Amino acid sequence: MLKDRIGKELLFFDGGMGTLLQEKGLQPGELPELWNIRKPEVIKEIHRKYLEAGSDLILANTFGANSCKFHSEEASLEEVIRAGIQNAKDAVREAGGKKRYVGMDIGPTGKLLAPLGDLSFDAAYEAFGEAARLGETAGADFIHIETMSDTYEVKAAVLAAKECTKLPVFVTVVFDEKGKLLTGGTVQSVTALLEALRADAIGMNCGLGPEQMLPLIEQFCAYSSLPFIVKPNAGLPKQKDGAVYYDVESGAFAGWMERIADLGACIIGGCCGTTPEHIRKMAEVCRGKKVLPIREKNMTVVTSYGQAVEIGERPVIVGERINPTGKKRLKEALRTHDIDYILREGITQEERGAHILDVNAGLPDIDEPAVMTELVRELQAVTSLPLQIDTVNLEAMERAMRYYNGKPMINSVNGKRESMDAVFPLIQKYGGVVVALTLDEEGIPETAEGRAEIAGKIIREAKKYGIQTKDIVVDVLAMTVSSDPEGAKTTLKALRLVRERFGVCTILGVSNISFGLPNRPLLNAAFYTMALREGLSAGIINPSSEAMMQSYRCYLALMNEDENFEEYIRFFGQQTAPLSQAAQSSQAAQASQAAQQTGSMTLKYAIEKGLRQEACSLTGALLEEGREALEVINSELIPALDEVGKGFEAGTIFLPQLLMSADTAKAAFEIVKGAMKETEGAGTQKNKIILATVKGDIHDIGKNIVKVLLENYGFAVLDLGKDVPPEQIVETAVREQVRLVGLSALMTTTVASMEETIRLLRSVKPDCRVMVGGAVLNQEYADMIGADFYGKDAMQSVYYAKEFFEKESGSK
Amino acid sequence: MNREEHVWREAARYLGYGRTKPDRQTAELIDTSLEELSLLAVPRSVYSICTLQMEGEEICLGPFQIRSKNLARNLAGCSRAAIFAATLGAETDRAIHRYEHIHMAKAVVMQACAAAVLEDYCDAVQEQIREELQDEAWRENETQGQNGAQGQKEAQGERNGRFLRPRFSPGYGDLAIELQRELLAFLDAPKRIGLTATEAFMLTPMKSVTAVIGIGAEPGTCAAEGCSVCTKTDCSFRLEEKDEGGQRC
Repeated sequence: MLKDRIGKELLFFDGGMGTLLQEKGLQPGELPELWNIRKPEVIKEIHRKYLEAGSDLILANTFGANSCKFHSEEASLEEVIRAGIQNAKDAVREAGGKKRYVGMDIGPTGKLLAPLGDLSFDAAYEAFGEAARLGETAGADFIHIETMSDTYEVKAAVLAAKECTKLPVFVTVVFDEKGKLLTGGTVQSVTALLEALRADAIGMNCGLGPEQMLPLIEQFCAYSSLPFIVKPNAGLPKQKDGAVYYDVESGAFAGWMERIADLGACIIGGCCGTTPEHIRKMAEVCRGKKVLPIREKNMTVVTSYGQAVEIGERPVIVGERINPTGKKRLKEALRTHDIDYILREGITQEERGAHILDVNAGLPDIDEPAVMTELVRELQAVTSLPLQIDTVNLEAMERAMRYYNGKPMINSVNGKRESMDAVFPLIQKYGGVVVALTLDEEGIPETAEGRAEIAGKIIREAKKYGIQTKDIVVDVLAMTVSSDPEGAKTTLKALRLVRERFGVCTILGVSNISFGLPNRPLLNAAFYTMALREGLSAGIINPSSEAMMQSYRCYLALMNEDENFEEYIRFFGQQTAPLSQAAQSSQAAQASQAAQQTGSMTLKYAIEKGLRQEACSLTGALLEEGREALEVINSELIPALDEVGKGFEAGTIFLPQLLMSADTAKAAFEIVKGAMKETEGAGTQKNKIILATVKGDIHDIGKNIVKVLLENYGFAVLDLGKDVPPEQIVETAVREQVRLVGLSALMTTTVASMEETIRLLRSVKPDCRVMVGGAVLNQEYADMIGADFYGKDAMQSVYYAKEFFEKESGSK
Repeated sequence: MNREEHVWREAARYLGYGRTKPDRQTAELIDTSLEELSLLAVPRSVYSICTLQMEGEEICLGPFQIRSKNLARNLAGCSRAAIFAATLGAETDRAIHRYEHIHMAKAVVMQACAAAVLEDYCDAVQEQIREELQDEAWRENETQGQNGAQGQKEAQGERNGRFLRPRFSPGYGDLAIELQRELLAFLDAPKRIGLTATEAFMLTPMKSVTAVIGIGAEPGTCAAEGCSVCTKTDCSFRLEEKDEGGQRC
C-alpha cells in the first residue's frame, strides 16, 4: 500500500510534463489534456521515460482536467481523464519492474475564489470532486493536488478529494521566495491547514528552483508532521525570444535534491523544466538514502487565509465582542442584518490587540446556520485574524467550519457523551482546535480535580477520532465569585492542574468571574493576571477594556515575553500619571470633556470638515444639554450634509471630502441612535432601498459609496452585495416591499445582467423604480436598458431617492 | 518630478483633483495610503514578446488573431509586441475592502493610490523591457558588425526595434474584452502571478492590468492614443484632445 510506504522510504516522483509537451509541439492555447486522446503515444512515451529514470510515482496528464478549466468539443472531461490515467497505467505495465503508482493530477481552477474573485467555494468543490471521482474510477492510485496558490482553493480541493474518493491525497503548493502563497498564506498557515484536513503527504512544487526552495524546506520541516513532498522547477523561469525556459542542469538538480532529501523530504521529483534526465540523475544520487523520521510537532495552531496564530507559551487574546449575550446593540445588528456593525466590531478588536476573534450568532429568533456562515465569510474578507466559531448549534458549526478559510478554533465540546459524539467527527473532518469545557452529564465539578478528570476524559475520547491533544484547548470554566466565593480559587487550581497533567493549552471566558459585583473591570483584570500566572494560554476578553489590556501587557513585560519591553513602552511609555478618571468613565462623560476642547466649534462645522472625534464629542454634548435626538439630526446633521453635497455638485468639494463628512455624520448618527433608543423607542419607519452590484460584477466600491450617503440621509439600505443574481434582487424587493432599487455595474459585459434584472423587476414588481450607476453607464445606455434614473455620481442617487419618496408620501 | 511625486499627483488626479490642490485631510489620506500600500502591495508581472503582423485591422500577434482598428493604429510601425500582465496582488484588494467598512473616504483614496502605484509599476517594468530590448539590439549589432554585412544590418533594423508604444488593454477602444482570459492563459498568469479573470472578464485581483505593448523601430505617433479612443464621453477624467497631446507625447 502506498500509504504504508510514504514517510518510511525515499520515493521518487516524475518531472515536468507541460514543458515537455511544448517541446513536442503543443501549441499555446491548446489543451494539453487533449493529447491523452490525440497523441496517447507521446504521453505514454514521456511516462515511460520517467519510469525508466526511476520514478516510483507518476502523474497522469490531467493537471487542467477540471470543469472550470477544461472546455472542449472534441472530448469530455471523463474521456480525457480516463485516457490520461489509462496512458499512465499502460506505461507502468510496459515498464515492468518495481511497484509504481499512478496519480490523478489535479491543478488549480485558474480562477480566484470569492470574495476576491467570482468562483464560489461550492463550485470549486464540485469541479474538484468531479475530477477526483473520475480519476478514481479510471484507476488512479492516489490523488495529487498541486501548484496551488490559495488556501481556500486548496481546502475545496482536499475536501472534495477526501469526500468523493477513498484514495490517499497528496497536496503541494507554490511558495514564493519569501515563503508566501500568491494570495498570502505562510508556510506555517498552510501546513497547519493541510494537516487539519488530514492530507496524507504535503509539500511544495513549482514557482522556485531547488536552490531557492532550500530555506523554505527547513521552515516546512519545522512545522509539518506529515510526509514531505518536494518538486522544484529546474531553476527560476527565464525568457528568450518570447519562450520561457529553465536552466538548472540535471547534475546540479540532483545535487540540490540530495540536500533536500537530507533535510527531510521523503517524496522528491521535479516540476517545470525538469526532464527524465533530471529524474534519472536525482534517483542515482539519492537511491538508497534513508529518510529522516518525521517528528510530531506539538504546536497548537489556528489559521486564517494568511496567518497562523500559535497558542502556547505566549498567551493570546480571543476577542469576545461578537457575541450577543448581554449586548443590546449586537442583538439588534444580528436581527436587522447590520453586518457592517459586526464587521466594525471585529476590526476594532483587531486594532486593539486581539489575536483571534470569537464569533457567536446565537439568538433564538434567527437562522443561526445561515447567519454564522455569512459572518465567518464576511469577517474573513476584512480581517486576517483566525476566528473562533462559537455555537451550540451543530448545523451552524459544521457549515461555518466548511466555509471557513483556514483551520478554525471551535467553541466548544464538553464531557457529555452527546457533545463528543457530535463535535469530534466535525473536527476530524474539517480540522480545528477545539475548546473542551470541563463539564459533563453531572454538571460542573466543584473541585479542580473533578474538572481535570473531565478534561482527561475528553482528551482520551478525542484520540479515538485521531484528534491530538495539541488540537484541544481546555476551558476549566470561570465561575462567578459572588455566587461561589471559592470559585476563582478552584478555577486557578484547575488551570495549573490540567496544564501539568496533560500538557494541554487552556482558555477561559475571564469576565464571567465578576458578575453581580461593582467595578467589574477591576476584578476581571486582577483575575486575568492571576489566571495568566497559572498558565492560561488564551483569555476570551474584551480587548477594548483598558484594564484587561494593562494586565495582559504588564504580564508579558514581567514574564520576559515582551522583548526589550517594546510593547509595554509603546502603550504605556507616554503615560506619566495614573489613568485619569475620564479614561475609564462613560462615553458621554468623555464626550463632554472633549467638548470643552472643541471650544466654539459647531457640530455642523465638524461634519462639514470631516472631523470625526470632534463631531462625536459635540453630538454627545448636545444630547447631554437635553437637545432632542431628532432635532440634532434635522438642525445639525442633515443641513451639514446638504451643504457638503452642494459643494460636491459645484465642484468645490471632492469625493474624499464628501465621504469624510459622510463617515463623520455616520459616527454622529450612531451616538444619536444610542440616545434615541432610550427616549423614543424603535424610532420612525424608514424608507427602504435595495442596493446591489449586478450578477457577474465584483467591483462594488461605487455601490458602497452610495450606500454610505443614502444611510446618512436616513434611508434603510438593504445591501445585497456584489455579483447578485437578478432573482435574488427581485425576491428581496417583493419580500421586503421595496419601492426603489439601485443597481451598479462596472463593465459592458455586466450591463447585460443589469438589463435582465430590470426586466425581471418590471414583470414581477412593476411598482418598483430602478436607479443605476457605474463606470460604464451613461444616460443613453441607462435609457436603453430601461432604467428609471441614471446617477452620474453618488449624490445624484441621494437626490433621486429623496425626491422619489417625497412624491410617494405626497401622493398618499 | 520624481517618481514618488508623480504617483502622488496621479492619485490626486484620479480622485478628481485636476488642477486643484487636495485639502490637508485628503493629502494626509493620500500619504498614509501610499505608505500602507508600500507594505501591502506585492507587485508582480509577466510578459512575453511576440511576433506581429498586420493587415489593416487584422492583427496577427503571436498565437492570436485579433481584429481591432484602434489596436492596429496603436501598433502601426511595430514588428513585435509584448503581451503583458501585472498585478498588485490580493492583499491590496483586501485592504480597500476593509476600509469600505470602517472609513469610506480612506477606501476611495486607497483605491486611487493603488491605481497610481500600479501604473507606476507598469511604467517601471516597461522601462525594464525597453532596456532589455536595447541590450538585445546591441548584441545583435555587434554580431552583425563582425559579419560586416551592411544589407543584413538594415534588414534587421526592424527586428532591433526598441521603441515601446503605450500599453493598450482589452476593453479599451474596440479591442475585445474577451481577449482578457486568452492573454492570461497564454502568459500562464494565474499560476505565475496569481492573476485571473472572472466570467465577465474582469481581472481579479482588481488592481491589475493586461496589455499589448508594441515594439517599433521608430517612436510612435500619438494619433490613436489616450482618451480619444474611449467611448465614455462623459467621463470626468477624459482629457481634451489638446490636453492629451501635451500629456501623452
